Amino acid sequence: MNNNFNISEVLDYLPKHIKTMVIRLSKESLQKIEEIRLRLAKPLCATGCCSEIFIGADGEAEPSGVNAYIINEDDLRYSMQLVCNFSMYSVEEELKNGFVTVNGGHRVGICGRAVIENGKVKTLKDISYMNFRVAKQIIGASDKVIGYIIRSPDSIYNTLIISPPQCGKTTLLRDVIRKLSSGGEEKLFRGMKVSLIDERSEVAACSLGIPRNEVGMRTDVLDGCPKAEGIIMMIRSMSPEIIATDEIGRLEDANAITDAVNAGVKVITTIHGSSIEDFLNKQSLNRIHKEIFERYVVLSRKNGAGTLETVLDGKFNILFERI
Amino acid sequence: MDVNLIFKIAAIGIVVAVLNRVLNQSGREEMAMMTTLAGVVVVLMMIINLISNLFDSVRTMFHL
Amino acid sequence: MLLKGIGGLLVISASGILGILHSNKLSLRYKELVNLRRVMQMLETEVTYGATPLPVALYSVSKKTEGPVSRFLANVSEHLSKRSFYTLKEAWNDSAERLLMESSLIKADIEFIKSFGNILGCSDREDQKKHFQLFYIQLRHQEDSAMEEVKRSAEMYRSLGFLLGMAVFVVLA
Repeated sequence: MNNNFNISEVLDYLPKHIKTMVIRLSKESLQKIEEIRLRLAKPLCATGCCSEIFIGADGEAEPSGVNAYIINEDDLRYSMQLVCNFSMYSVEEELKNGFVTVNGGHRVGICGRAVIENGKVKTLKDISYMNFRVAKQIIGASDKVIGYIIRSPDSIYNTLIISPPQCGKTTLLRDVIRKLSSGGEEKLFRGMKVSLIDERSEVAACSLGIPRNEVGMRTDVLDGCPKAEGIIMMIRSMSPEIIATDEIGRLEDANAITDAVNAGVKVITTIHGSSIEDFLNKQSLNRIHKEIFERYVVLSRKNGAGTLETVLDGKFNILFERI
Repeated sequence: MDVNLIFKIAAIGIVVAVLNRVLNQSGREEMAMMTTLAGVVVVLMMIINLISNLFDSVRTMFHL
Repeated sequence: MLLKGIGGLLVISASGILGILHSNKLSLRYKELVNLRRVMQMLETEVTYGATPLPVALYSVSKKTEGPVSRFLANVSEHLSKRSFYTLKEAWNDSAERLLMESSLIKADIEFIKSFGNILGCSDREDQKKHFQLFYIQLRHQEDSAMEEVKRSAEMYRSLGFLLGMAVFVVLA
């Protein structure tokens, strides 16, 4: 799947007139777009890896934003209708977290006025900001790392991928899962049964039950389920050899991962963080200890998204470091 | 004197009577009244010529 | 003479049939309102329990039901899937106009249905549920008034048709 295809999936969630404007950009510009932002009463903006363009009403890329198209209330309203498929109630859970995942695994960040009930966010209203993040699947993203993760033809090391936001950890995780599930020539790896708990529908991007992204031959996907419960469900029902999930952060997630490892299942997961020290300082995951994981992979954006910074083993010895 | 005329008037009378009953029963009393009136007017129109002849004959008979 | 008879028969039966059709429209309206309730209850289940997005929910409800209202839902679902309109409200209103032409519902019923399109899909499940309940209460009023109309006028229109036909025949022939 090339990038142009992904972009058009995201554009379907923009009002027609805005979609027409964006499409008029040059092909190279379109290829580079990673985010499209709608800000109320501000210029229409698209950002890429190291670039930012404001888009004018006739599809001109305006570097300064002076003649760019200004977003109005109706644009946001129409866009919200498209994103939630004309049904606010169907995304109310996701709205509480501030983003909605749409077809193709793309994440749409939503910002406005929070409605609080009992001290918790009940929903968002007066939507004034939307951020469309284009999801990219890159086959081969894990080529450099996979060697460190595979232990033997039928086993792997429990791996934690640490990365700041927007550095490609989901893309990397996806490709790792794909490789582990399909098997390959590295160390004559035979391919293992993987159970993926895709809480935000971003890794496999399931649509009507079918993964839109390549996640491998032996992968079972539990779509949209909270991680802690999902992990337990999968262990009981799908007898996985590997449990894979994205963005662990809460105590329940950590406990579920520990349970999985204790049950003899291998785990691969990701976490937000900029370095290994960052991870070690995370209070809520204190339990997850340093005894569970046998490989740590740290990512950054220094050479573009998905830059491999370091790979460490369970005792924090450096196995690889980017020069 | 057309016998048909008598039949016609009789028929109209019956129709008006039934219409009256149906409309009254469904509560449309104003409509019922209107149909009765309409019936009378129609009949009058049908025999207006005869009435005119009647008055002419009476006038000639009594040299008025 | 024969021609007169045939002419008269034609006039009386034409008028009579018109009367019957009009009378049927009234009782059909009532039936369609009852059907509307059933259809909306199914939609409510899809929305409040299944949290199914509207294009899918409307389509699946329309598959399980019949009648003009069912076609109306299928219509809205199609508009949404094709993104022919920017908002649900516009798609809903457009299909409602078509419903007015294709069914025995009257303008007041259609306006009432249109007003529901203003809030459908615009809030969370609890809120939607409340709006559905409100809809049913108002629908009950429409149903009651439709039933009253039927009781009052259905029989009347039937007789009226034939009688007027006869009156015309008698006057003209």
